[in-house]
Amino acid sequence: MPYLGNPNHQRMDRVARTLTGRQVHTGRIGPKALIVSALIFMAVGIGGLWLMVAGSDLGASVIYSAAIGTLALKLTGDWRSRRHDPLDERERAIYWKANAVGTGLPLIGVAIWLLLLSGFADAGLWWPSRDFEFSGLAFFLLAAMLQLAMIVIGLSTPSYAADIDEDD
Amino acid sequence: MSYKGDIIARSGERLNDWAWSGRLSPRLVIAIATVWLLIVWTFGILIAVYDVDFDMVLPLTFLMPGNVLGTLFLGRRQGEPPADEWQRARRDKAFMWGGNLTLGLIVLWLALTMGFAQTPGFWQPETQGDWMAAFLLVVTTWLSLTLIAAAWLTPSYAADLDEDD
Repeated sequence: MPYLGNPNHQRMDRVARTLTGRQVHTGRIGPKALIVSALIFMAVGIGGLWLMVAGSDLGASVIYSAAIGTLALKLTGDWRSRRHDPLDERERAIYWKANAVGTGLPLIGVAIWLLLLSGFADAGLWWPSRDFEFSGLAFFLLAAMLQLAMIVIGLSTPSYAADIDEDD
Repeated sequence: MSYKGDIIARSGERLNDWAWSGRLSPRLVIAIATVWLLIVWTFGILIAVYDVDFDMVLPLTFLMPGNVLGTLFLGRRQGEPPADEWQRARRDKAFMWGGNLTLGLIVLWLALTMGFAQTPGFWQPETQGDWMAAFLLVVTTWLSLTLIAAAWLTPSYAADLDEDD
Protein backbone atom coordinates (compact mmCIF):
# COMPACT_ATOMS: atom_id res chain seq x y z
CA MET A 1 0.00 0.00 0.00
CA PRO A 2 1.59 3.25 -1.09
CA TYR A 3 2.15 5.98 1.45
CA LEU A 4 -0.67 8.49 1.12
CA GLY A 5 0.75 11.18 3.38
CA ASN A 6 -0.40 12.31 6.74
CA PRO A 7 -3.91 13.75 6.40
CA ASN A 8 -3.45 15.78 9.56
CA HIS A 9 -0.41 17.53 8.06
CA GLN A 10 -2.30 18.26 4.88
CA ARG A 11 -5.26 19.68 6.74
CA MET A 12 -3.05 21.87 8.90
CA ASP A 13 -1.19 23.08 5.81
CA ARG A 14 -4.46 23.96 4.15
CA VAL A 15 -5.63 25.92 7.20
CA ALA A 16 -2.28 27.74 7.47
CA ARG A 17 -2.32 28.62 3.77
CA THR A 18 -5.87 29.89 4.01
CA LEU A 19 -5.00 32.07 6.99
CA THR A 20 -1.67 33.51 5.87
CA GLY A 21 -1.89 33.47 2.08
CA ARG A 22 0.05 31.52 -0.49
CA GLN A 23 3.44 32.86 0.65
CA VAL A 24 3.41 30.73 3.74
CA HIS A 25 5.51 28.10 1.94
CA THR A 26 8.17 30.64 0.96
CA GLY A 27 9.05 31.44 4.55
CA ARG A 28 8.34 35.12 4.01
CA ILE A 29 5.60 37.08 5.65
CA GLY A 30 3.16 38.14 2.96
CA PRO A 31 2.84 41.89 2.36
CA LYS A 32 -0.81 41.92 3.40
CA ALA A 33 -0.08 40.04 6.63
CA LEU A 34 2.73 42.53 7.33
CA ILE A 35 0.42 45.52 6.83
CA VAL A 36 -2.34 44.03 8.97
CA SER A 37 0.10 43.13 11.77
CA ALA A 38 1.58 46.64 11.71
CA LEU A 39 -1.91 48.17 11.82
CA ILE A 40 -2.86 46.00 14.80
CA PHE A 41 0.24 47.09 16.73
CA MET A 42 -0.42 50.69 15.68
CA ALA A 43 -3.96 50.48 17.05
CA VAL A 44 -2.61 49.08 20.34
CA GLY A 45 -0.02 51.92 20.50
CA ILE A 46 -2.62 54.61 19.81
CA GLY A 47 -4.89 53.02 22.42
CA GLY A 48 -2.02 53.16 24.92
CA LEU A 49 -1.35 56.80 24.11
CA TRP A 50 -5.03 57.58 24.53
CA LEU A 51 -5.04 55.88 27.96
CA MET A 52 -1.88 57.78 28.93
CA VAL A 53 -3.36 61.13 27.90
CA ALA A 54 -6.50 60.25 29.84
CA GLY A 55 -4.31 59.89 32.94
CA SER A 56 -4.27 56.10 33.29
CA ASP A 57 -1.12 54.44 34.68
CA LEU A 58 -1.73 51.52 32.32
CA GLY A 59 -1.20 53.56 29.12
CA ALA A 60 2.60 53.53 29.11
CA SER A 61 2.68 49.74 29.68
CA VAL A 62 0.37 49.20 26.71
CA ILE A 63 2.68 51.37 24.57
CA TYR A 64 5.75 49.36 25.72
CA SER A 65 3.99 46.13 24.74
CA ALA A 66 3.08 47.52 21.30
CA ALA A 67 6.65 48.79 20.80
CA ILE A 68 8.26 45.46 21.77
CA GLY A 69 5.82 43.54 19.54
CA THR A 70 6.52 45.92 16.65
CA LEU A 71 10.28 45.55 17.10
CA ALA A 72 9.98 41.74 17.12
CA LEU A 73 7.87 41.82 13.94
CA LYS A 74 10.27 44.22 12.21
CA LEU A 75 13.36 42.21 13.12
CA THR A 76 11.68 38.95 12.05
CA GLY A 77 10.65 40.50 8.74
CA ASP A 78 14.12 41.94 8.14
CA TRP A 79 15.81 38.67 9.01
CA ARG A 80 13.53 36.67 6.75
CA SER A 81 14.01 38.98 3.79
CA ARG A 82 17.81 38.90 4.14
CA ARG A 83 18.24 35.29 5.08
CA HIS A 84 19.15 34.00 1.65
CA ASP A 85 21.00 36.86 0.02
CA PRO A 86 21.71 40.57 0.42
CA LEU A 87 19.00 43.04 -0.58
CA ASP A 88 18.98 43.89 -4.26
CA GLU A 89 18.61 47.43 -5.66
CA ARG A 90 14.82 47.38 -5.67
CA GLU A 91 14.65 46.07 -2.11
CA ARG A 92 17.15 48.67 -0.93
CA ALA A 93 15.15 51.46 -2.62
CA ILE A 94 12.03 50.20 -0.83
CA TYR A 95 13.95 50.05 2.46
CA TRP A 96 15.12 53.69 2.14
CA LYS A 97 11.70 54.92 1.10
CA ALA A 98 9.99 53.02 3.92
CA ASN A 99 12.32 54.48 6.53
CA ALA A 100 12.02 57.98 5.05
CA VAL A 101 8.22 57.83 5.29
CA GLY A 102 8.37 56.03 8.63
CA THR A 103 10.41 58.81 10.25
CA GLY A 104 8.84 61.66 8.28
CA LEU A 105 5.22 61.17 9.36
CA PRO A 106 5.92 60.98 13.14
CA LEU A 107 8.14 64.06 12.78
CA ILE A 108 5.38 65.98 10.99
CA GLY A 109 3.04 64.90 13.80
CA VAL A 110 5.50 66.10 16.46
CA ALA A 111 5.97 69.42 14.62
CA ILE A 112 2.21 70.07 14.37
CA TRP A 113 1.77 69.10 18.02
CA LEU A 114 4.56 71.50 19.14
CA LEU A 115 3.01 74.25 17.04
CA LEU A 116 -0.36 73.61 18.70
CA LEU A 117 1.29 73.53 22.13
CA SER A 118 2.70 77.02 21.53
CA GLY A 119 -0.89 78.23 21.32
CA PHE A 120 -2.85 75.86 23.55
CA ALA A 121 -0.42 74.64 26.24
CA ASP A 122 -2.03 77.01 28.73
CA ALA A 123 -5.48 75.78 27.70
CA GLY A 124 -4.59 72.27 28.87
CA LEU A 125 -3.27 70.57 25.73
CA TRP A 126 -1.54 67.38 26.88
CA TRP A 127 2.19 67.30 27.45
CA PRO A 128 3.97 64.52 29.39
CA SER A 129 4.58 65.46 33.00
CA ARG A 130 5.12 62.18 34.84
CA ASP A 131 8.29 60.09 34.42
CA PHE A 132 6.74 57.16 32.59
CA GLU A 133 4.84 59.47 30.26
CA PHE A 134 8.13 60.71 28.78
CA SER A 135 9.33 57.16 28.11
CA GLY A 136 5.87 56.18 26.88
CA LEU A 137 5.92 59.00 24.34
CA ALA A 138 9.46 58.09 23.23
CA PHE A 139 8.48 54.45 22.70
CA PHE A 140 5.28 55.49 20.91
CA LEU A 141 7.32 57.56 18.43
CA LEU A 142 9.83 54.75 17.83
CA ALA A 143 7.05 52.19 17.40
CA ALA A 144 5.16 54.49 14.99
CA MET A 145 8.36 54.84 12.94
CA LEU A 146 8.71 51.06 12.59
CA GLN A 147 4.98 50.46 11.99
CA LEU A 148 4.78 53.04 9.20
CA ALA A 149 7.98 51.67 7.65
CA MET A 150 6.49 48.17 7.64
CA ILE A 151 3.27 49.41 6.06
CA VAL A 152 5.25 51.13 3.27
CA ILE A 153 7.31 47.97 2.74
CA GLY A 154 4.09 45.96 2.54
CA LEU A 155 2.49 48.39 0.10
CA SER A 156 5.62 48.50 -2.11
CA THR A 157 6.02 44.74 -2.30
CA PRO A 158 3.96 42.97 -4.95
CA SER A 159 2.29 39.87 -3.57
CA TYR A 160 3.97 37.68 -6.17
CA ALA A 161 7.46 38.86 -5.23
CA ALA A 162 8.44 35.46 -3.90
CA ASP A 163 7.40 33.65 -7.07
CA ILE A 164 9.35 35.68 -9.63
CA ASP A 165 11.55 33.47 -11.72
CA GLU A 166 14.54 34.58 -13.80
CA ASP A 167 13.23 32.64 -16.79
CA ASP A 168 9.73 34.11 -16.76
CA MET B 1 2.06 93.29 -24.65
CA SER B 2 3.15 89.70 -24.51
CA TYR B 3 2.80 87.59 -21.39
CA LYS B 4 6.12 87.26 -19.64
CA GLY B 5 5.18 84.76 -16.99
CA ASP B 6 4.91 85.16 -13.27
CA ILE B 7 7.94 86.92 -11.86
CA ILE B 8 7.87 85.02 -8.57
CA ALA B 9 7.64 81.64 -10.29
CA ARG B 10 10.45 82.62 -12.68
CA SER B 11 12.68 83.86 -9.87
CA GLY B 12 12.14 80.70 -7.87
CA GLU B 13 12.90 78.58 -10.88
CA ARG B 14 16.04 80.56 -11.66
CA LEU B 15 17.24 80.06 -8.11
CA ASN B 16 16.50 76.35 -8.36
CA ASP B 17 18.29 76.18 -11.72
CA TRP B 18 21.28 77.90 -10.23
CA ALA B 19 21.31 75.54 -7.26
CA TRP B 20 21.32 72.56 -9.62
CA SER B 21 23.78 74.02 -12.10
CA GLY B 22 26.80 72.56 -10.38
CA ARG B 23 28.01 76.00 -9.35
CA LEU B 24 26.98 75.08 -5.82
CA SER B 25 29.12 72.09 -5.02
CA PRO B 26 27.87 69.48 -2.53
CA ARG B 27 30.49 70.66 -0.03
CA LEU B 28 29.18 74.22 -0.23
CA VAL B 29 25.63 72.92 0.29
CA ILE B 30 26.83 71.03 3.39
CA ALA B 31 28.56 74.19 4.67
CA ILE B 32 25.48 76.39 4.09
CA ALA B 33 23.13 73.87 5.75
CA THR B 34 25.48 73.48 8.73
CA VAL B 35 25.79 77.24 9.24
CA TRP B 36 22.01 77.52 8.90
CA LEU B 37 21.48 74.81 11.51
CA LEU B 38 23.94 76.49 13.90
CA ILE B 39 22.22 79.89 13.52
CA VAL B 40 18.79 78.45 14.30
CA TRP B 41 20.12 76.37 17.21
CA THR B 42 21.92 79.40 18.67
CA PHE B 43 18.64 81.36 18.50
CA GLY B 44 16.80 78.44 20.08
CA ILE B 45 19.29 78.07 22.94
CA LEU B 46 19.23 81.82 23.61
CA ILE B 47 15.43 81.69 23.80
CA ALA B 48 15.60 78.70 26.15
CA VAL B 49 18.25 80.16 28.46
CA TYR B 50 17.02 83.76 28.66
CA ASP B 51 13.31 82.95 28.77
CA VAL B 52 12.43 85.71 26.33
CA ASP B 53 9.00 87.04 25.44
CA PHE B 54 7.03 85.46 22.62
CA ASP B 55 7.57 88.56 20.47
CA MET B 56 11.29 87.87 20.53
CA VAL B 57 10.71 84.43 19.00
CA LEU B 58 8.96 85.81 15.96
CA PRO B 59 12.21 86.89 14.20
CA LEU B 60 13.21 83.23 14.36
CA THR B 61 10.14 82.32 12.33
CA PHE B 62 11.46 84.55 9.54
CA LEU B 63 14.26 82.03 9.17
CA MET B 64 11.76 79.34 8.21
CA PRO B 65 11.75 80.07 4.45
CA GLY B 66 15.41 79.04 4.56
CA ASN B 67 14.28 75.49 5.23
CA VAL B 68 11.96 75.59 2.24
CA LEU B 69 14.68 77.02 -0.01
CA GLY B 70 17.01 74.31 1.25
CA THR B 71 14.69 71.50 0.26
CA LEU B 72 14.58 72.97 -3.26
CA PHE B 73 17.91 71.24 -3.71
CA LEU B 74 16.05 67.96 -3.45
CA GLY B 75 13.60 68.94 -6.17
CA ARG B 76 14.09 69.11 -9.90
CA ARG B 77 13.98 71.77 -12.56
CA GLN B 78 10.85 72.56 -14.49
CA GLY B 79 10.90 70.83 -17.85
CA GLU B 80 13.48 68.26 -16.82
CA PRO B 81 12.64 64.58 -17.14
CA PRO B 82 11.42 62.97 -13.91
CA ALA B 83 14.08 62.05 -11.39
CA ASP B 84 15.86 58.83 -12.31
CA GLU B 85 16.29 55.85 -10.00
CA TRP B 86 19.57 57.11 -8.58
CA GLN B 87 18.14 60.55 -7.78
CA ARG B 88 15.04 59.08 -6.17
CA ALA B 89 17.15 56.67 -4.12
CA ARG B 90 19.36 59.58 -3.02
CA ARG B 91 16.32 61.63 -1.97
CA ASP B 92 14.76 58.74 -0.03
CA LYS B 93 18.06 57.88 1.65
CA ALA B 94 18.62 61.53 2.59
CA PHE B 95 15.15 61.82 4.13
CA MET B 96 15.74 58.53 5.94
CA TRP B 97 18.96 59.81 7.53
CA GLY B 98 17.59 63.26 8.32
CA GLY B 99 14.43 61.79 9.85
CA ASN B 100 16.17 59.02 11.79
CA LEU B 101 18.72 61.37 13.36
CA THR B 102 16.10 63.99 14.28
CA LEU B 103 13.72 61.41 15.74
CA GLY B 104 16.69 59.90 17.62
CA LEU B 105 17.49 63.33 19.10
CA ILE B 106 13.85 63.83 20.16
CA VAL B 107 13.76 60.40 21.82
CA LEU B 108 17.10 61.10 23.52
CA TRP B 109 15.76 64.40 24.83
CA LEU B 110 12.58 62.71 26.10
CA ALA B 111 14.71 60.08 27.88
CA LEU B 112 16.89 62.80 29.44
CA THR B 113 13.80 64.72 30.54
CA MET B 114 12.50 61.57 32.19
CA GLY B 115 15.70 61.27 34.22
CA PHE B 116 16.47 64.91 34.93
CA ALA B 117 13.01 66.48 35.08
CA GLN B 118 13.40 67.26 38.78
CA THR B 119 16.99 68.49 38.47
CA PRO B 120 17.23 72.26 38.81
CA GLY B 121 18.66 73.87 35.69
CA PHE B 122 17.44 71.22 33.25
CA TRP B 123 15.55 73.04 30.53
CA GLN B 124 11.99 72.09 29.68
CA PRO B 125 9.63 74.02 27.41
CA GLU B 126 7.11 75.92 29.48
CA THR B 127 6.15 79.19 27.84
CA GLN B 128 4.57 79.90 24.46
CA GLY B 129 7.95 81.02 23.12
CA ASP B 130 9.63 77.81 24.29
CA TRP B 131 7.14 75.66 22.38
CA MET B 132 7.52 77.75 19.23
CA ALA B 133 11.30 77.49 19.51
CA ALA B 134 11.03 73.70 19.96
CA PHE B 135 8.87 73.49 16.82
CA LEU B 136 11.38 75.50 14.77
CA LEU B 137 14.31 73.48 16.06
CA VAL B 138 12.65 70.16 15.17
CA VAL B 139 11.70 71.25 11.64
CA THR B 140 15.03 72.95 10.92
CA THR B 141 17.07 70.04 12.27
CA TRP B 142 15.08 67.56 10.20
CA LEU B 143 15.31 69.47 6.93
CA SER B 144 18.91 70.62 7.38
CA LEU B 145 20.17 67.13 8.23
CA THR B 146 18.26 65.80 5.21
CA LEU B 147 19.92 68.42 3.02
CA ILE B 148 23.36 67.62 4.43
CA ALA B 149 22.77 63.90 3.81
CA ALA B 150 21.63 64.60 0.22
CA ALA B 151 24.73 66.69 -0.48
CA TRP B 152 26.90 64.05 1.15
CA LEU B 153 25.46 61.41 -1.19
CA THR B 154 26.02 63.56 -4.30
CA PRO B 155 29.34 63.05 -6.03
CA SER B 156 30.96 66.41 -6.78
CA TYR B 157 31.10 65.65 -10.52
CA ALA B 158 27.37 64.90 -10.76
CA ALA B 159 26.63 68.01 -12.80
CA ASP B 160 29.23 67.19 -15.45
CA LEU B 161 28.20 63.63 -16.30
CA ASP B 162 27.70 63.12 -20.00
CA GLU B 163 25.90 60.25 -21.69
CA ASP B 164 28.83 59.72 -24.06
CA ASP B 165 31.50 59.54 -21.38
